[in-house]
Amino acid sequence: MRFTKMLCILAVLAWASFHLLAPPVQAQGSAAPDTSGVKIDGEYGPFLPTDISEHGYKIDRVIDIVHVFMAVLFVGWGAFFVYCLVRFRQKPGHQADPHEVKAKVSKWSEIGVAVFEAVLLIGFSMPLWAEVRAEIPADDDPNALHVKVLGEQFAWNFRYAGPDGIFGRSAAKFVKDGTNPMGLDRSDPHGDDDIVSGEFHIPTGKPIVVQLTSKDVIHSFSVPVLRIKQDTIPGMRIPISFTAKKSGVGTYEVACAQLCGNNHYSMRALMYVQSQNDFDAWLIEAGKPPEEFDEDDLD
Amino acid sequence: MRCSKNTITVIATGFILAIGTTAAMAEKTTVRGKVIFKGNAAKFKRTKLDTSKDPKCKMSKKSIGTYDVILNKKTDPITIRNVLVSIKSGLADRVFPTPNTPVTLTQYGCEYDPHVFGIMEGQELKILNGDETNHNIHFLPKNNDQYNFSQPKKDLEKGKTITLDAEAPFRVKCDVHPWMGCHIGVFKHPFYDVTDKLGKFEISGMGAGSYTLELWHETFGTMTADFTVAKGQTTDLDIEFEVK
Amino acid sequence: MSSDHDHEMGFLRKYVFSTDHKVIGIWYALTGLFFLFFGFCLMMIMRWQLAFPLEKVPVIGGLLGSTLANDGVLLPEGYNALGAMHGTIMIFLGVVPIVVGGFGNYVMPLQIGAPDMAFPKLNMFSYWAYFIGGVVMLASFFVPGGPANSGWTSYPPLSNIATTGQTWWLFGMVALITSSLLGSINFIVTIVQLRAEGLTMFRLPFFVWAQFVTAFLLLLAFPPLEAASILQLMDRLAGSSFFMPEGLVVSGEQSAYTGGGNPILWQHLFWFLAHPEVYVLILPGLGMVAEVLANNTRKPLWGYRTMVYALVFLGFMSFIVWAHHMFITGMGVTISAFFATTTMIISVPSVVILTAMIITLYRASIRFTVPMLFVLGFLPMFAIGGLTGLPLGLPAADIPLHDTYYVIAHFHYVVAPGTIFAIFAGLYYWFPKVTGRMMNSGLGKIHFFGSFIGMNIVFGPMFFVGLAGVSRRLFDQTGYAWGDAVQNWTIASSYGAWFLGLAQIPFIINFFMSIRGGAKASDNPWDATTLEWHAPSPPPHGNFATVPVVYRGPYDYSTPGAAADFSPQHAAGTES
Ligand code: HEM
Ligand SMILES: [Cu+2]
Ligand SMILES: [Cu+2]
Ligand SMILES: [Cu+2]
Repeated sequence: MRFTKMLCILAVLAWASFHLLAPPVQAQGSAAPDTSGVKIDGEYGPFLPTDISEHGYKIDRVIDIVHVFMAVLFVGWGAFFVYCLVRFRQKPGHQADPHEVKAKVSKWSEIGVAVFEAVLLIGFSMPLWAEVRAEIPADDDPNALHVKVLGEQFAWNFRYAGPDGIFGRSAAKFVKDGTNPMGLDRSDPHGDDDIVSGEFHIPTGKPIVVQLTSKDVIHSFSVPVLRIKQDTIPGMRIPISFTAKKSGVGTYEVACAQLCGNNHYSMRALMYVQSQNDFDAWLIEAGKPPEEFDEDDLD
Repeated sequence: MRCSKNTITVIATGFILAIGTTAAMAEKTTVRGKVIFKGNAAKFKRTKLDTSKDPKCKMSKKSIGTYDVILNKKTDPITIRNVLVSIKSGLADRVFPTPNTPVTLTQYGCEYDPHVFGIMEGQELKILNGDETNHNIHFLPKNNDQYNFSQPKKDLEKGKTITLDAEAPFRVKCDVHPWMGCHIGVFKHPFYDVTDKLGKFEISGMGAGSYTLELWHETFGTMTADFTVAKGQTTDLDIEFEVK
Repeated sequence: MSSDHDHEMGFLRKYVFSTDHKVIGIWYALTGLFFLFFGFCLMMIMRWQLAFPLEKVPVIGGLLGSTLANDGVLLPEGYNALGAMHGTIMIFLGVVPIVVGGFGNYVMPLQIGAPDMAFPKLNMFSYWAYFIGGVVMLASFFVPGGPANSGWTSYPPLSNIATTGQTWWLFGMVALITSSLLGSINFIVTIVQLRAEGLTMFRLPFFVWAQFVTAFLLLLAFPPLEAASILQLMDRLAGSSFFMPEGLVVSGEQSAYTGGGNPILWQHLFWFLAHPEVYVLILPGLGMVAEVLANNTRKPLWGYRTMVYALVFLGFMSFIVWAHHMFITGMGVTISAFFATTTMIISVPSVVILTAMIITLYRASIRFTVPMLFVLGFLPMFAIGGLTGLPLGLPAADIPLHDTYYVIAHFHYVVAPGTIFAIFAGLYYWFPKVTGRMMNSGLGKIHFFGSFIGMNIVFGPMFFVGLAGVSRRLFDQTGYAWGDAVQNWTIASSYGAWFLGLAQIPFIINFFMSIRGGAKASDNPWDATTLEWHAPSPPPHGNFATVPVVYRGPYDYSTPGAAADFSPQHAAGTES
């Protein structure tokens, strides 16, 4: 029995040390460049990654608070649990006491848990959710940058309104792989200057509104460093909004977070967070008609 | 008993095949020519494709171009590349052996090589990946299996081998790189060719007779052309493809 | 129930097409254990790919075929298929059949002093419907394109355009759902009608209560999924478009679906089932834990009545939290506030039950038997699983965590070291009743400590991998900077899974050896109080020689003045 108990305690300790004492793995992602030669910025490791959004710290704060709360509860329970295992193990001449313990502690701790959860929910989570979900600049808000994002198996397409600031028409029947992935109607004058790219470029310090939809199946637009994640649902247009911090300039990754088919894991796009000037320069560059391709020009 | 019967069948088949091939070789018949573009060539420009989605594509080829229309504008007349030319009728019920050599389709620089090709029914198609990235081969035929599999790893040796049933040209695409596409025509006979950079094709060995050629282009559609070839002769046939 | 009655029946009637709840229960449990092991094997293969992306799977690589793998290297489609089948098999073919079909069927009628289930033939039919569902799911591994690969959630449009395996999956699900529905009716009627004299509802063992609530969950939650599965079958086979909006372009081609449907509809129908289903996975486990706990603390359960109320409340609430799986679909502020609130509320009864169990340890006389070890492993693991549900239930905190390995870690702490430990506790505890022999406790201890350590190495690191941002259902995380940074943790987790696999060997040996070679068990080897221990081990057809009468509550342990430290429910004397 003594042996069993020792083992039991050892196992709990091993578990605890594994979780709490293991040194954080160094962020390899930031050190080693991507094999494609594109270096990804930011620090990554076994906790939340770098945050470059204006709203992200609030989300991180809720997560931190909940985890501290969880740790307190768990350690409290755990201590009592281990105490009981040691103190009330079966011994000769000892009998269990069948009378109900009047456990005021339990009642109070349960009420405490409930109250704390209520505070978390009403005080933190709901206002934050309302802020993230509901405070979205209107379609014609000139202070915000609007980007249309279209998911497809297995790529992200990004569309900017171009100099006139107005998106042209688009429809499924115009879609052509390679040359017109977002199905722009070339005959619409507003659509003439629209820019379609496979890269996500955004300026810092400016509210961005992303209009999400999908061509085929459900995808999920996930940018961990921006603390955003939103399913893209075919047949629905869902807006989300965020602002990148001025200090957030760099290259990051966009992922798909919802199983969308065989190569879901390859559904990655690069995100370039740029100063307003660099972003404007990119827009001009990307707005030029595609270069002519001549095979003989190749090296 | 049974064994010898089989042997006889095998020998007989071999004999017939041998006669067939020698006969074909003896009367080496050829049709060749180019496919000439007729229309407004200025409308069709070949431009660079946006491959920024996957930076690993650039590791193999710096840039790749659109392929829906590739015109050879450097010669006069202007010719069309990637037209799949095949004999449509005139072969009657003749049966042709399937070649043992596989056709290879390579994905390199996030592009298919070749971009349009023919293959015989039952002939092996070997699909290779020359890139350090994941490709997904998605067949979109009407009759054949809609193969849809991934090649997540560079693999220029073993690849994946499949066979197909005869079918009019259909599209094959990569779902990881949506711009990647190619077309396959599957035939019951070996008389097909794809026009090259200069718009030229050459088909031989069909034997003397009158035939109809079918020309298929992924953007321009199909047209037909008739020709006659005599024993041991070559027929030159330049075909104008009218594009509205 | 004389013995010549037994002789009249042929071998098939007695052992295969038996209507005896015990034989059916054993079949359920054995089939379920097989599937549990099979589902775990799928995961061990997947863990190889995760730890060592694109390397040839050792030993069994060649067996994977050319659809799921190429040259022994698992392909993304193979990974997705194994993942979807792991989820489906574990839940619908593994855990539910074991805890409800196996333990529920075998133990519940004994615990209420009944000779059999209320509808024995229906019971047999449930098993065979389950069996057919299982065969269909297994057969789907061999259809062109492999088995279903759209996740166990099968979200359309993806599932609508998926390979034939999905059709098989849907047919399999229809069979499994039918089985559970029939079973649940049987359970409810049995518990209401067939209790022994004196066995009032509040004298029922907690396990029976858990089965009772579970049966209601199955009964009420499954019909929407059955309907939804049939709608999806029609979308796939009959060209309807219940879940397909218009204007879809799939692989560059305009889709043939006429449109007008909505993919979110499926999610509502699915999660309306699948959330209660999560409680179907855990409640019977809690029931088993309660039995073993009372028996090995030699004490009544603390707050038995409160626990029962909490259980019923939990069952009820589980029907109005489903949309917390869908915060990220673009849910409005009001609706998400509702579902976040119900989610926080449902955590309270869970906390109550867990707290009651831990308080039961206070002033106990704890016997560290093998079943008890599994229960003691269960309690903290279940606590971790439950607690980590909190951040997922808060919509704002859910944004970075949704659909990451954090979620996988969270629910596996509930179902793997949670329910699976409960299943092991139950197996070691009731094994002597079923076979008349004890399992070896030395091997049992090795099994427990191996599993306990293994489980934590598998699932502990996943919390961190999830926080780092790695999505679930991801074939290869190293393609992302955040995934590459925690690849070491993923490798550790994979080693954990294989270690866990090794740790099951002593169990498998023990299980088969003890059936014939275990030490002979008395009718009541654990000095327990509930009625099943009143029947002989193993109980004959018809269970009890004399119909028992119940005089007291389920856990009359250590009553002062009693002859022994336990007073069985059927023992007359001072009532409690
Ligand atoms: C005990 C050993 C187990 C291990 C090592 C294990 C491991 C895993 C892992 C790593 C995943 C994530 C795969 C991915 O997202 O790519 C997963 C998914 C899942 N597991 Fe388990 N699991 C185990 C037991 C169970 C049990 C007992 C259940 C259910 C009762 C279960 C139900 C599921 C479900 C529903 C999924 C989600 C499948 C999907 O994505 O569609 N697992 N498991
Ligand atoms: Cu996606
Ligand atoms: Cu995806
Ligand atoms: Cu590709």
